[in-house]
Amino acid sequence: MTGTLIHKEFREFLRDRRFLILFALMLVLVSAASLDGWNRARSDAAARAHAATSDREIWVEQGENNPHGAAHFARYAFRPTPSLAAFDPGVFDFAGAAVWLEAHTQNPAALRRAEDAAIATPFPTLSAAWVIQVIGTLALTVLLFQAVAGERERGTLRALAATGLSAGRFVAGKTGAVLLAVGGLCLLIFLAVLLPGAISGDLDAGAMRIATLAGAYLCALTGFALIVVAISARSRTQSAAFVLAIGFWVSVSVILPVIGGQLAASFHPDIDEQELKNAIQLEAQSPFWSGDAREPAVAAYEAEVLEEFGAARFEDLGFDREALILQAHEEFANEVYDRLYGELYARHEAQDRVLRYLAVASPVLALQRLSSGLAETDLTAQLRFTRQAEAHRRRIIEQLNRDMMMNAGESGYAYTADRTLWEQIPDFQAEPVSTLEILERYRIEILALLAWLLAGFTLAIQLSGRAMKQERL
Amino acid sequence: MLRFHLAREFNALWRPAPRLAALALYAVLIAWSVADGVTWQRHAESVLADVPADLLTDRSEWMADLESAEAGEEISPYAARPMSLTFLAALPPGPLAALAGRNEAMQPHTALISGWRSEVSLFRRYEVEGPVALGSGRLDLAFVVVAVLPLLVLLLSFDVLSRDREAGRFRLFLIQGGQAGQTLIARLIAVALPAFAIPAIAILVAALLLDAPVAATSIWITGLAIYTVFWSAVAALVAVSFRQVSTGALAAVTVWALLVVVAPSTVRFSAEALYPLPSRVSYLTEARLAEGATRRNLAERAEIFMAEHPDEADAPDEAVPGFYRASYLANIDINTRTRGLVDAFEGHQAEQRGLVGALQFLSPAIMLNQVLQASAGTGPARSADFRRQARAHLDVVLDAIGPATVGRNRLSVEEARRIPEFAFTEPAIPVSGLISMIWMLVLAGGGMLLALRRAQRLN
Repeated sequence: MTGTLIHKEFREFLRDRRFLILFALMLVLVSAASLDGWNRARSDAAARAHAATSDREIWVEQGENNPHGAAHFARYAFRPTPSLAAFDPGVFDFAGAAVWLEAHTQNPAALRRAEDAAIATPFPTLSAAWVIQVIGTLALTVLLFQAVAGERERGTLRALAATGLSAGRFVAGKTGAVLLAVGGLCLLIFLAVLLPGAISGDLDAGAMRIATLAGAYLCALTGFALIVVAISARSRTQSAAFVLAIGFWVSVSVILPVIGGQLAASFHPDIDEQELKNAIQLEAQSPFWSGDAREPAVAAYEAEVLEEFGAARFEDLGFDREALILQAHEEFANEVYDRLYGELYARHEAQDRVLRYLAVASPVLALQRLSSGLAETDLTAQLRFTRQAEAHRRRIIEQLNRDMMMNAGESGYAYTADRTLWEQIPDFQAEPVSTLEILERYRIEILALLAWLLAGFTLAIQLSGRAMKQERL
Repeated sequence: MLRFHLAREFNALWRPAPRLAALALYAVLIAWSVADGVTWQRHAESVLADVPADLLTDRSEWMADLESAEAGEEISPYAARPMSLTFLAALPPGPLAALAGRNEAMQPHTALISGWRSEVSLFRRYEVEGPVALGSGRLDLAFVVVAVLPLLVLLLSFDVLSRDREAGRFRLFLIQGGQAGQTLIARLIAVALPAFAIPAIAILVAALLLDAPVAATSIWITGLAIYTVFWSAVAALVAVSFRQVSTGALAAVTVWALLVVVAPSTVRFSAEALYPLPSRVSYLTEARLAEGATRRNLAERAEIFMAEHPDEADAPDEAVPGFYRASYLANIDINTRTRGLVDAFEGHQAEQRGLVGALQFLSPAIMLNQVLQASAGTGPARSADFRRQARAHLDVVLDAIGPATVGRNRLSVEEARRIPEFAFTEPAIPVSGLISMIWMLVLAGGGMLLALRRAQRLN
């Protein structure tokens, strides 16, 4: 019976020019977004890969240089472009692409792609994910707002109710057909976006990741569709249903994500750039170079070196003391950076948490967050990159300082190293993250999506049942 | 008669709870966006006013040292050096930036211009803003007007005739002597008036709080009025063209989605795809290559430079640290090497804007967005202008201090006086903005006339 109802509704949709127009519109949009997303991600990945290769060449070809001089010229860590950024760019364009790994100073990521925008539009750049999340839910709203209210206003609900049709079957018939079509379209979207990457070999996301992504979209769209049916069942007229359904769509798809970001920035304002710079100068540089923090820091590091080499006095090792001081400063400053950048990133995470909790109020926001998390274009992926880059900076600066300490002898800053040392400095490699780790992090969003699905299901059946009951009376 | 219809429609239209809720939500959004915008603009102004003094050169002190040195007095070897001249390039918030500053937080508003900077490092700053908040952008009034106002107008007026026609009341209404055209106009005004008045009041309040010029405020109010009329005309056409509420709803939402979401995004996508910008990462790579090459061949590079400026070659001051010269030369080499990329970047950005300017007539949302941003003093075009002007000023400073820096000398007092301070020149509001507003008015008028003619036929 339910199958027959879905079949009947689906055939009506196919006969309805409005549905075909919407379907064609979404298909065109998604094709354009997919092509653009794939092209952007590919050119971005190529630029970053080229930059990483050039960085190595520049580093290795720098000629003879003092290791500390080289540490100031330094290297860059470039964040690789995740392959699913073609599908969902998330906040990828709003986060720095590279970190300068210089001596003495921890730098935040720089080179945000979004700064290059020459044109301002009311809505963001098209992406396949955005089209499904925002335009897809709008299509569901337009197709389903009259599902019950329309039948009631036309008087056909009374006839349906008289046949003894259950509310569950009625809702299944109404939403099933729309979801069949929208689900099919989503499948096409996934294929359109992921196929070029899969063919060219750029797609490194596993099957589990893609299946989870598809499941999340299906769950969110179904929940959203059921809520619209519930709104329709609650409304006396089609006009009221339309106002309420579009109001719901605008609130959860357009307004809440923007207001969420603004609330996040209001509750947890960004740290001022100059304040951070001043704090670095006052807490990580001045106390060591012109204050009284130098002596204990050098003594502590000296003790470590003596223990490592089994010597009683530093002078017995024949090592360079200037380099020891340089590394002692790194050890001293690293603790300060852990605190200052810890506060900065904690602020960013607090902003992210505001959106996480708001996602409970919006299935679209919950989907947006989970989707960008799975695509590794979210804040967590960015922070993971910056933390890995900082760990790499500490590793290579220590390597350079130790080379100077152990080999400079009496020459001090006049000592120079060559290509042999530069080639020993490892390149930055971003460590991958598993799908399970991502899902663990996004458990609130997953629960929110499931709750919306359950609420939509319950409300749609209950309210449709009540509407049918009223018609029977 | 129209006054009677209006009074009746105002009463009838705003009685249902969902409609009142929609209007209340709209008003809250506008109040929020303006309050937040004004706070943001005041903060931006205070940040610019509080640029730490130690970052900038005290010009009078520096000149006094230079005059002493020129008079043969003993001064510190580090004093009055050309490399220690630092200028502030500042982009002040536009007059109504509070109302259209959605993505302004991301753009550079200051740059320190000195010989220590290349064009690549000129705008380098700690990017400390949270990506999540940046990605969401601020909910500014321009967004509410451009995206939400048309939806509100359509939502509340798409069925002004079809709801009566579908319910069979319309025939009765006509029999009783009712006029379809007058009813249509009255119902449209009942919706359009609050949709226009609420943001108009908000604009006036913001203009008063920010002491904005009358011209900018007038452009905003005029643009808002024309845009409201345009969407009322669209609503009128939908109302007279569709007998069924559901078909009218679909048509209204489709028109909104096409003109406000799809057209701007597609135009932007086309512009970005046709004129792709060179990547920032490539820019950095080129700069690094240039810097590496200069530092490897510093002595040779300095000789070449001094051969081009022989008058500064004699009597270098050995007290000047060598890295002054190295940094200066590396910076001018970076600028030379990356010039092609910067030109391509700016050229493609201009091409993108040109294409959007040509295609803006397809969508009233693009037209209004451009006009609002230009008159508010925000947007990527103004920011690009600031970057171009700051880069040009850097070139002036580098040219002026180059020979003295590489020759390890000081500037003469006369040379130093010739170096200007930076002053941002506001770009003119493009004429295309006026044309686009006239075009929108023509479309609105045409649409409204067509709708009224169709409404007359319904009689």
